[in-house]
Amino acid sequence: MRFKLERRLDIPKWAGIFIPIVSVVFSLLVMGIVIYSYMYSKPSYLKRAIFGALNEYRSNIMRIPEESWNRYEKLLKAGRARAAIAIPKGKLSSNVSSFAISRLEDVFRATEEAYKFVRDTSESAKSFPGDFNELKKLHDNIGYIVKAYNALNRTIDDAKSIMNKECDCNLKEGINSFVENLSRIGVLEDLVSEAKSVDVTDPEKAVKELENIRSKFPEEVKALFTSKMESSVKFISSRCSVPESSWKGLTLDYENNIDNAISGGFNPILFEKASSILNSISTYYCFAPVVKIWNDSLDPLRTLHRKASIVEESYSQLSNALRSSQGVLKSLEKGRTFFVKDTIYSMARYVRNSYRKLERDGFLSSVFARRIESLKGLYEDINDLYKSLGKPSDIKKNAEQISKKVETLSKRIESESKGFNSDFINVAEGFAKDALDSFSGIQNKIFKRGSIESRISEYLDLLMDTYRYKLEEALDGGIDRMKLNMAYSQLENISRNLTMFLRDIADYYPSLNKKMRLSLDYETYVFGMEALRTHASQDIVYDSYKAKDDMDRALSGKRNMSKEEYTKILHGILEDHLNRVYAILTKLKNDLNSLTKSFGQVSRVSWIAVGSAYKQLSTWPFIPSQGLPDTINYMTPLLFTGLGLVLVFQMKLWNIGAEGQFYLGVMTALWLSLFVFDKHPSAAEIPVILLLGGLAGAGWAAIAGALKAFLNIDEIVSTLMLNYIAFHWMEYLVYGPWKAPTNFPETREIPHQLFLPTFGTSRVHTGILIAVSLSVVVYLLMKKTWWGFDLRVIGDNPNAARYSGVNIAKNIVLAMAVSGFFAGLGGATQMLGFEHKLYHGYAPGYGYTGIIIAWLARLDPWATILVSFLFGGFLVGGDQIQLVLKLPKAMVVAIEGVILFSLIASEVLFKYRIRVVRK
Amino acid sequence: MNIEGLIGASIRYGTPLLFATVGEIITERAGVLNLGLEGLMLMGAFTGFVTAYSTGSLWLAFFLAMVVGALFALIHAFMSITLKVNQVVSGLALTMLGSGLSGILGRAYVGRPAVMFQPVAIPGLADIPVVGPAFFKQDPLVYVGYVLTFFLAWFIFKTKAGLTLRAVGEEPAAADARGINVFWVRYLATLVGGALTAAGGAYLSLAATSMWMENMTAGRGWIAIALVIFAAWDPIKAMLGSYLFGFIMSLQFRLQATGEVHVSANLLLMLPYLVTLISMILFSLSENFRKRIGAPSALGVPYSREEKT
Repeated sequence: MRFKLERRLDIPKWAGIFIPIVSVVFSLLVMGIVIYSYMYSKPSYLKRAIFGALNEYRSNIMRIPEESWNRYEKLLKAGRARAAIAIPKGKLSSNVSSFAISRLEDVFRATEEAYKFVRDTSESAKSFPGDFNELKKLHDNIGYIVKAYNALNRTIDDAKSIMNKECDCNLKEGINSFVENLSRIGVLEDLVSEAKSVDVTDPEKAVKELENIRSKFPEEVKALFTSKMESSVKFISSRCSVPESSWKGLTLDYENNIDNAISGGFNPILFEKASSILNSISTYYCFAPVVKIWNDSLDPLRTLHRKASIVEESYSQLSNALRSSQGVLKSLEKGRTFFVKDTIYSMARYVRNSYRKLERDGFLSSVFARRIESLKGLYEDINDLYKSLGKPSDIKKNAEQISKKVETLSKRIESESKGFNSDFINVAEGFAKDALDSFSGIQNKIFKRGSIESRISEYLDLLMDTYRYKLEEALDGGIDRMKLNMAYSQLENISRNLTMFLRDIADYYPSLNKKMRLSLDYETYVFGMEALRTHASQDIVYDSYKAKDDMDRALSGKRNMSKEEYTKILHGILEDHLNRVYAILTKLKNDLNSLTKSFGQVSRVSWIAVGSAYKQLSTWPFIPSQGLPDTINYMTPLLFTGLGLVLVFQMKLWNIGAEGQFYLGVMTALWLSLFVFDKHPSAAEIPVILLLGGLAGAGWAAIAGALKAFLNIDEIVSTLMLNYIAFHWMEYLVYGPWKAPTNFPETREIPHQLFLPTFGTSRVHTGILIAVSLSVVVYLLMKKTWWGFDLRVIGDNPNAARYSGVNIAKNIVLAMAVSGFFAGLGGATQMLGFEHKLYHGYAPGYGYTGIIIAWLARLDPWATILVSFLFGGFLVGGDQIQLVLKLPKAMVVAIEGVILFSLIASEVLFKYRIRVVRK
Repeated sequence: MNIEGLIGASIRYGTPLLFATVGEIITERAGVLNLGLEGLMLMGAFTGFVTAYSTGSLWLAFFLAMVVGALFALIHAFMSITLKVNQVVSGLALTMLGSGLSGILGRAYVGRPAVMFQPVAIPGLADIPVVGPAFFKQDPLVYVGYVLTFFLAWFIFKTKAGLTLRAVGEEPAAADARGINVFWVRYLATLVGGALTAAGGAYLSLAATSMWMENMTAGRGWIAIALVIFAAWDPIKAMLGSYLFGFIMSLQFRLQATGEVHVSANLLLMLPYLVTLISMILFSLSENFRKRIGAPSALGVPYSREEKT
């Protein structure tokens, strides 16, 4: 059996245009399938992972008995039985806390990530109104406004000093900086034009005019921010049917911050604060007011927990004092009096520390006022006792008397620490009550209808009961820091469950579209998941502590165990512990399953993800306010390398070294800008730099060309080698001689006079003009000159070319050089227009992508413009998809591969028919 | 710097290169140019790691990596042998597809530890001073590399099947006239080459380290392509070349580790490519050399019975 390719004769030549179209469409379909399966498979990964973690945990902790035995034995031999017993305890705790749990957390994080994608998916569905986006952009660029304001002030000062004949400052510079900074973000055009018309020759008049601008400036800036805020809020309110009034608090906060920032001399930090409010609005979009009310009401409880840790510290000081007093009693009993005085002193110090900690906190000092008083009295008494003590020999004499005194003191300490707890519980309950009140406040404020209200308050009550229970447990019989922390995380869980609210709210807003509701579902899902996992991991940690205690208890008092006995005891306890962990995880798995079932829409969301990917890809890169500038900036280097390759592929010369030739252009441009023209950089040198960059690329390519022409060395391999040599050369420069004095391996930035100009205030640099005009040159070269004709003949039929007297060797070198010139020029343009500096690992791959471009364009210079534009769009859209859907970066590379494959395959399948021949 | 350690490390660094290089030698001997080694190695490294991670069986992982490598090479074989497309472009596409796909699929596995091959000392041989610990106290895959190289050298130059392989690469038309099925030989050579290349990738994730990283081959596929020329399509020379480049790499790591000669590390990394380029020039300058080594004449040229050129 053989395959045979049979030429199709019935297809017209123009139909060839379908080849790239068909392959691109095919590749995009493949991309859709890949995205779908990637999204869909993520959740199933987690279930396997949970029990994988358990196994790892098991194998990890089951090593404890064996491992600890050796040291146990050694310590026993050394007669340190107590230390020996402590070993398994320490071992388990370090194992549990550091590795096993962190591993478990890892898995849980993976689960969380698995579902986050849904949120990100829906994020793209909710597009913010234009004003809102502009506002955010304004905040991102706040630095320019601050700079402009500073420049204005500086100029006014300068003008004044000119009037006083103190300096001959140049006013133009300051005004220019003002104008430049503002026009870079395109705001306050009135003020900009006013500033432009200021007459710099007459300082007196200039001062007047500038001060006029300065007086208007704050108002204008404020108007800029607040007007956009207003319209944004209007839009969001109408979209989410959250009444505008509920935004009041947020907008007021925002405006206050803006006000303060402006009146405080344009304080960037306050602007930042305002911006964070903006961020919270955008995070919760429709529900920002709810979130704010919620957080406000939660704040007292958060304070409580912050204070609780202080109380706990103070409490533990008292426990220390108690322990010291018991130590004193024991020493006295045994007649060891040497340290008694010191210990009593430290007792006093512990008591003093205890109340001082409370005193230092304004709030606690009032709550614990009475307690502090009595602690002070206690301290005085202990101190008196300390002072009355004499030499150790005296203490020995009065041992009985002293021990009686200490005993009473010890009792007092004990009663104090008990009182401590009840004080604190009172406070805590007060806080909790406040918080609960404000929760019901939320319900009143936000929910108007009956049924949902009761559901939510039921739910909340339940959560708060759990919280209260945990809190009480923590305070019961001493203040337990760990349990306190658990209560606190329960609190935070409740706070996370706020999203449950949001979901219920979503039910109530018919105007919310389906997609949004779905996204809320998933948000709830993610948070529900997180709550479950937090509970589970807490339970596991708690259980491990229990196991630790069990082991401690089982081993205490036992001496001279055999290895079998020792390990048997520990194994038994660990097995029990593992069984409990297994139960916890099984429950977690079931919970997660039922949660998934109730939200079971993974496939639906995966489809949405695919749809949104296509939408991003087809819209984002081509909308001027979004990705279009980036698209053009991506297009420029691609067009350069693509054009060069179009030329050289015509003669079937496989230059795959455009990448290296590009690097040569980059390096040359950087070298010239940093080390040759750095003294007096000016825009006039830009053409020189570009030309030399191009020539460097040409030279690099000519090496491979010459090797091919004169030594018949395969250009594919030689250009490939030259790529890598260029890359490592560049790395060497970045790490070595050109490294900037920073910690990061990168070079200095080139002088800004050498930057390629941009179009107006956009970030598009003018390199695109050079690239496009070059395609005209390539067209003329190829179609209108004898040389272009020669190249094609060499490519199609080298023998015919040779016989007609064409110098093939010369043409090979020349064609390679021209192709390299384009790539090098592209590199130099990229450096001056876009990168402005080099950093380690710079490998953008424009040279390799150029191959796809040339191929997609079917070696036509006009089509190359279109293809590189569309491909630039694909790259920008790909970045955007990665960002929005959290897809791996490799996606774009894989799709490029598919495009290339389908391109070459469809080329053949288009022209030929495959026939199976049997013989 | 102890000499055994350095030689041992050179061999470990050289082994993935060796697998890929001998794989490509087989492919190219049959007249097919496969530039997709980087992609194949990455797919091999990825498949090997995932299998080892989920089953714990290293040999199964190694085997599956080879199977996946062969499947990937099948794409290239179909493209270049049946469809007769440009092999350079097809190879580049394979590289992109392999590195992209392994990046997507492998994302969930980044940073997870798995099992790895442990060094096994060969009794007797390992006790020879210096040479013993350097050559015979390695992981099993290194020994597979030794055996493979000598086997392939014998196979290519001493057996009839090897002669067939070379004939297909040199004069496909003559081979065809002799009754050899050029298509199947080329297919087979491409698949075997792909499998061996993927084995080289698997070495990285199964023996060199026990984890998966995106783009963990870091250009080794391209070095292997250079090595094929450097080795003049001869497995034994490929072994020397691989270990030599492995030596350069390990030296570079050692220099990097000492911290002071960081700069020259980049220049050292440039060496393999420079050496290849220079050796290509030297080979082509000397008429004698050219005759003796010579690339397969039909390398990169698709064979079709109808179109004689």
